[in-house]
Amino acid sequence: MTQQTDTAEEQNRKEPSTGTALILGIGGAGCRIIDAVSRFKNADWIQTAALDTDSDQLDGIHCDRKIAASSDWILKSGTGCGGDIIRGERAVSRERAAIAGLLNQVSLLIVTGGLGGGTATGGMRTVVSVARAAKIPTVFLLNTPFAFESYARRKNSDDCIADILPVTDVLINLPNDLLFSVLSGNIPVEKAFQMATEEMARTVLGFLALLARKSLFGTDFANFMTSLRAKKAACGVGIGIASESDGLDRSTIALKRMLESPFLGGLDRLESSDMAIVSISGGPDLQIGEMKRALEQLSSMLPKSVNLVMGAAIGPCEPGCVQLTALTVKYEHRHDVPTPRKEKKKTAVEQESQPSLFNSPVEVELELRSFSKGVFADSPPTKYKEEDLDIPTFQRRGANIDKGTTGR
Amino acid sequence: MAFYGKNVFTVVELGTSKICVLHGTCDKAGNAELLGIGQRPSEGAIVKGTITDYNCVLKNLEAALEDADKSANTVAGRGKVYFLMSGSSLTSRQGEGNVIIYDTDHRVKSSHMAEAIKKAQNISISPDQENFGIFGSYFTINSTHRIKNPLDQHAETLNAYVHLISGSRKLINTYLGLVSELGFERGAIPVFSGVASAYGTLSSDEREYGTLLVDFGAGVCDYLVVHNDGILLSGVLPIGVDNLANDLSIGLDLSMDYCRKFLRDNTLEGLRERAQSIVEIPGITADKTRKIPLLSFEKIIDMRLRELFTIIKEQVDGAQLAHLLRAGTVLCGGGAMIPSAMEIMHNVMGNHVRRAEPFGISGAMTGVDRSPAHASVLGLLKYAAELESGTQQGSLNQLGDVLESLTGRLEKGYENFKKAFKL
Repeated sequence: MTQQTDTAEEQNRKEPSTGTALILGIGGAGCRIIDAVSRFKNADWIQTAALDTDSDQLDGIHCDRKIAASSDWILKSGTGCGGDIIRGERAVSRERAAIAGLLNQVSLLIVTGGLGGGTATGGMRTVVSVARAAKIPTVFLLNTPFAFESYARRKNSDDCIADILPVTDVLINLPNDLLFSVLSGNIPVEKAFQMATEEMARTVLGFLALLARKSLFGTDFANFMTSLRAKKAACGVGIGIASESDGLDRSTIALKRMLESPFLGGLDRLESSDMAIVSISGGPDLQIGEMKRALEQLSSMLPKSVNLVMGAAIGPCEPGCVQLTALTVKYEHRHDVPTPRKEKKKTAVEQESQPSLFNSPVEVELELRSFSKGVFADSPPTKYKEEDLDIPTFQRRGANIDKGTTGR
Repeated sequence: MAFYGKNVFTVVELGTSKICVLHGTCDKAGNAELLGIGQRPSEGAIVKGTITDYNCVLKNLEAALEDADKSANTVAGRGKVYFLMSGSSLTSRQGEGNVIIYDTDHRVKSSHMAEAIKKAQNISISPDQENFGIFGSYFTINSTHRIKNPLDQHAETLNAYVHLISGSRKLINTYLGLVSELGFERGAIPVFSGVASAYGTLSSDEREYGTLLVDFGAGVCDYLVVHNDGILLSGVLPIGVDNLANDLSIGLDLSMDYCRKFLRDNTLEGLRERAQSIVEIPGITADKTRKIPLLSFEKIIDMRLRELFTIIKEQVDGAQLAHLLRAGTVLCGGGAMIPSAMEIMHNVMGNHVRRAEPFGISGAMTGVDRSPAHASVLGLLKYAAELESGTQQGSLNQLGDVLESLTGRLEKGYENFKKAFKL
């Protein structure tokens, strides 16, 4: 008997705590974060790479490797994709081989970028696809637009997250609005964005250091995967680092700094989360008393409704340093995220039947898009939960599909 | 070559993509041997298990039958024929029969089991439906745990659970009409294609420990949950590989033929291995080429497969059987060859997934490779061989063993079948 057995992805997956780690920034925001990371990083086992469609911006970025993607298939323009997701998708998908080449000898991949524009939003799925094919543990740390940004950018960002969430292991989306918790109103705009970029770079490095260290107990990549895989959640990340030079009780100082991290959103957010994954990590000099103190203090701050997962990790890092990392998760649904469905728009009759407080006429939005069934046009509909399954899934979900060039 | 002394039977698959006829025989141990094969394309005459062009199907079936005769080097007698049944008209139900054991020794006897099984089959179905498959699921004694065979065990009450599969009477009549026009005088026996696939591909361990089998064909997707050699759940989703090709055709403005070929030839896998990111297709103008990102193909395929497998998972979860699938999921049929199908199935089901190939058949296998695409028709051959030989060695209807020995051989049920359809 011949049996083809495909072992589970986890069995073939490489161990994140060995080998080289790669931080890949996509798009304008991602490249700026990579630039900041390259200045902060102090370990040879961390590599950085940047991918963008704007070649001018890419030239100014300091990193180990660069990929300049062209948004135009015919002319190598290098002028960016102007916020056009389709152009961003084409540009990044064309560099698939180059992205796959980056992943040789890599055991952990962190992808960072800002959603809402063209390059990162359009190209994220290609990166997901390449990372899955290479079976490398991948964490996506993505920023989502400010609340005051346009509806289109926020929608693009939400659609991208909904699209890649089912196929990513760990996706952490960090709203830019969290930065307002530490930035005062009189800070110049340019400096504010610079501080935001640096904070994001510290978050990325802190997260990477946690995953790359050998876990003693509790938190490792698998914990994050279990908590976040295919589950839509609002997340916060807090990193607090303290060294012996900061004071005697470095673990408490690290805890304080962690709680002050802008992307954590404060103690209130921590208290209202469904789950918090907290890890204390350090070098060989990390004492058990320090670990106990920090974790007990944090545990006492949080209500019992928060599912607290604690861990500790040891690895090579700056001598005398202790790092406290916290990831808070607030799930949007109690169960796994279902395939997103189009909300049924109310018909004119249904809207009119509702009593209107001010007796004003309700404008009804009519759906102009018609769905094609192709070869099944003459077949009886295949109904399941009020949907006709013969209509292509991508049409019913409202997904944008790039049809490429017309060949005319 | 003459088939003197051999019990030769024919199995037929009327599928959306192909019409396949196999001549086979069995040895005394019930092992199947393939004698001849004939295969013709369906030419669109069968859609999702429903015959849309009777004459076209008849013509192609006749041609496939002749090919099978030539392949076997003789004209096989038009004796008994088994054919695969699928399509959206098929429904399945779990029947439950309860018996209180009044005997002083409180031991379960065969008469109690027969009575419980008989009661379990008493489910009313609509007049346009006909039961054509009855399989054992399990027994329980004193409403506690599930057991395979309760004979001689002590119990106060005995419950028998059977799995009944029924189909549209008109569809069954149409199939019977087809085979009778081709000269099969001893009539025809319909078999649910999911059951046939299970016979062809599941190991004994998988049947015992619990498996979800998904036969992802061109027109429909059959699914079956087997546990302890009993069937607990079955169903048909009228979504197949043709839907996938249709999605690609509509989404990317491509012809159906190109999309079918794209899926059949595993073009996506080849392009990924070569790290190509763009698919180049000859355009309308001679010197122009269409360029379509590979990602677009991946997106469309991913969304359709994910939706399909999620629906199947919902059926399994709805029947509260997910915890019984200790052996994981088995994927067969032509759709199992799509590269991302395994990964997406694993992603959705969260358990071990295997791509299955038929096994356990000897003989003239030239022309039918042991690929997942032929799992159902080769499985039907095995099923027929076991029934014809009278052995049901570790087979799916092990409870059916009990059923047959208590209520008579399938031959008796078959006689009733003939009378019902006036054959």
